[in-house]
Amino acid sequence: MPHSATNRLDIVPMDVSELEPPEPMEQILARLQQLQAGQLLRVRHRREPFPLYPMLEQAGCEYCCIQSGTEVFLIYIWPHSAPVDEAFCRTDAAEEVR
Amino acid sequence: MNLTGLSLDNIPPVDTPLKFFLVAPVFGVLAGILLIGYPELLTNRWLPATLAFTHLLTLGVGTMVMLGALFQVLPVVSNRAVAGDQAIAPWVRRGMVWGTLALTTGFLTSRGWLVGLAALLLASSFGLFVGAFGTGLVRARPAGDTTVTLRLAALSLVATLVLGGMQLSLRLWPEAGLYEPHQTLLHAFVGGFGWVLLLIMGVSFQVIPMFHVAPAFPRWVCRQLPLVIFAANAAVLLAGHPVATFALPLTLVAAILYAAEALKVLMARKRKLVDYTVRFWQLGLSQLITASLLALGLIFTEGDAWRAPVELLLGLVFALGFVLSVMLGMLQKIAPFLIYLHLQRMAMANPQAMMVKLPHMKALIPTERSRWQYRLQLVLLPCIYLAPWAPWMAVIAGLLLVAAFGWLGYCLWGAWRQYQRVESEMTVPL
Repeated sequence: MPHSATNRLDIVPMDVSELEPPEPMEQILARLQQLQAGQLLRVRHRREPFPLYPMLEQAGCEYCCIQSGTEVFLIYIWPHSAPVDEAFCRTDAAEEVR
Repeated sequence: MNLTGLSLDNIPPVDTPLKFFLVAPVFGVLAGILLIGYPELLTNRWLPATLAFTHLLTLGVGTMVMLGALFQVLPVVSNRAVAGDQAIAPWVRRGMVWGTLALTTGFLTSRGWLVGLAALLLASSFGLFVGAFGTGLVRARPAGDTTVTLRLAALSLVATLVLGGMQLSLRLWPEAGLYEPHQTLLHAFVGGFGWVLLLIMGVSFQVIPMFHVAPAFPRWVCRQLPLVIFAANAAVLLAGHPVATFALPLTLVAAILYAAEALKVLMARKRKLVDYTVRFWQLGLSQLITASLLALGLIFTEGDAWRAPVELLLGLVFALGFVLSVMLGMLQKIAPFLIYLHLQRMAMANPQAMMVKLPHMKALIPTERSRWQYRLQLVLLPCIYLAPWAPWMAVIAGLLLVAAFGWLGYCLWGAWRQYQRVESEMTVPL
């Protein structure tokens, strides 16, 4: 059953918005390998990282990207085996950028 | 959200853009050799050798790199691939290579059948590309500023090609009466200040903030300026001379505003490390301002004695000062980035490949090599700018062109060889 806005989830934040390519991708993929059960990665980026998405698919992950401004993108990434509800991401993103 | 509509197939294989990049320096070297052989070609823009030199650079180098890059740009900005990219890319590239060679040889030897062959090959090649790329552009959602600007660039390319075809009709089918002398200027203007400028603008809206951790371009630059340039160019094309006197300067002023804003965005980047792509951008944008001012000067002044060499200078400042500088800078960044991206993908797809150490992006084209590329460009530009007045300087410029494009080929082939080595290590059975 997907995590919803009411479920507890341990969000692991990271900010790659001031890094040059390919550092954001390198750091996100490295951090994903350390992700524990019940954890969700929340990446703050300054653009939507389209080239990253196929790699997340290869790594067995799903994601949700929420744009919160011209240069603010929050990308939530979680393992395919532990699905997360989009509403959860939207609620968290609204709180994060408030 | 999630992976709907996403596919690995959206990102083309690395050799799709890179084979375009790898072949482009060969045409640059040929242009240099031609300049050494015909140093007077930069004294008159109507000489057959001048036409051959111009098209070696604009088609063989410029358009070759741009087409290769566009196969990759669309998936990055819109997550949508160029339709059938893997099937059509080799044919587009072959058509460009043989079409450019046939066209330039046709100009040099005045053989009509070569020009006819070139028209056939180039029309097929561009037709394939514009059809596939245009379909991707039309379908791209959401249509951001880059996508909209690329659509305008693609329309300008079509206009440039139609005008180019009308030029060729003079040699192939003169009785059709399609050719008028002023079309040559329109072909060059819409090709340069339409297709090329809009393409560079659209790509820069993405890559300058992305690669250099710079702020986004102001909205009016991304939204209004491309439309102003496109509309002004259309007015020049469709409305004839009276409107052109107003529309031409408008395009040039818009180009200056874009260059000034792009320089401001680069100045505001967060990481102020030495980066030769940034320096190439700064050099190129300064040359765009210079070219636009020169064009404005030509529009608003009269006199014939000095006009011909200044017109040639304007073409050189735009093509080699602006376009080539930007292109050289982008290649220092984009080629290693694409190679790195694909190796990373391969490593993730293949568990045994995790044992192979991936080269760092900066190891693919080391900074020292980029520095030499920049130095060569800094020496080349003043030499070639003087050539319309001093043909002996054209020989030096020709040697420098050979050196610059030879060096570019060496850098790109070096990066490509590293890719092939690592790829073969990844696929060796344990």
